[in-house]
Amino acid sequence: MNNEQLRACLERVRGGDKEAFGRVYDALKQPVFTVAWRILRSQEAAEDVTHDVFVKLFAAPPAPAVNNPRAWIFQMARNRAIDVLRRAQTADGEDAALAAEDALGERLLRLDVEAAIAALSRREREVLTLRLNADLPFHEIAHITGASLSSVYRTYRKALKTVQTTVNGGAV
Amino acid sequence: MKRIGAVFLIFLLAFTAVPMARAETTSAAPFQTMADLYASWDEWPDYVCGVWTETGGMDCLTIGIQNNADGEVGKQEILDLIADDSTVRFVYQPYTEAYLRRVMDEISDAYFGGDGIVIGLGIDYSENCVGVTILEDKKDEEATKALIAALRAKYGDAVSIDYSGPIVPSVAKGIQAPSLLWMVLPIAVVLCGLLIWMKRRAMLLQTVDGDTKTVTAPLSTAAVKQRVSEGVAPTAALDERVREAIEKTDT
Repeated sequence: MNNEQLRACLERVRGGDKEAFGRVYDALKQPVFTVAWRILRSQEAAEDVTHDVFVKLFAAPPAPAVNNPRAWIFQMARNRAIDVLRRAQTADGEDAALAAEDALGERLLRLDVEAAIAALSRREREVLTLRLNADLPFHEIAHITGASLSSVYRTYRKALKTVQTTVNGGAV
Repeated sequence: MKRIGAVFLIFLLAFTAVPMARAETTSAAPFQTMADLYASWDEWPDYVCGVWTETGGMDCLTIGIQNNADGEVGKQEILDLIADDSTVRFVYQPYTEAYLRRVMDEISDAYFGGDGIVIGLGIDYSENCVGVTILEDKKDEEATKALIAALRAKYGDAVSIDYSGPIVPSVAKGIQAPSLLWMVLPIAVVLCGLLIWMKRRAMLLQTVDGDTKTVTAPLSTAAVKQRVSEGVAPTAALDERVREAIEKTDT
């Protein structure tokens, strides 16, 4: 679903059209969940974030003035996931590992690519996922993450290269 | 006099501030020129149809992009990534490089070599099509005409046809063609070498109890991107939770 189609659906969602909302949900639930999951590394927490994002989207869709509703949705997902991560911080300030042994995590860790992504830094996971799963251009990712365009581009290239090297057993 | 001096100073600052601001903005770009950005590509972005130079050098590259929303996003992305916009120009083209590569592979599989009609294939980036070279001597044959009609029907203007003499003339007048044995012998030597190498490789891959380890080809960047973009699916329970929450919001 591109931005034009999304804008058209959201126009109808503003009028309470559940069918239009359903189309938006079906199109975006997997990439939104993927963004949340790769930040939180927990199925339950990622589903909670995804649930909150779409409930809020139905209750208060972005105004027509929002030029890029797709970026708006993924920014909301990313920010909520970061909030959840911060609340889960341990007393000494380190990030907590959120239920890394849940069933979904165990199953997915057997997939090479997700295991390689899990080994990246949080920033690298974010940028890679927003680029390849949320389909956002680099300048939007820079805006969402608060980083510079060049930093986002380098982070993306490095993350992709690292995943490729890891998956290929150290040989690219 | 002092007032004139102040006004002059203000004008001077205004005119120097603009290029300084522009320099500050463009210095945020990670690449100075389009050639620098192009050198960083392991593979072309999906929205790129072709890359070529019309100046004979790398000082200004022409990028073919699709005339749609993805192409416009891609064009803006390129401009955001380079500092010097004068090093790139854009033209709109209908076919992506990935599509032309697929067309070329299909034509190669279906027609290349077999009956000697198609003797050359290649992507012409500036013309945004796959160039198919047909043997001049077979130009008027029915099989050739049928082949061209089939290519046009399936690929339209994504394919262009040209004609040429044989790449390597097999027989010239008065010179005897090499015998079949001398043509087959080098191929046989290569095949034998290949078989020996494969057998040796299989022996190297054998474990101590006789099983053979499986070796998979390394994933390309495109394959990695594809796997990453497949993402992770939530459980079906999420759908029910969202549906219930929407119903409650509505009521």
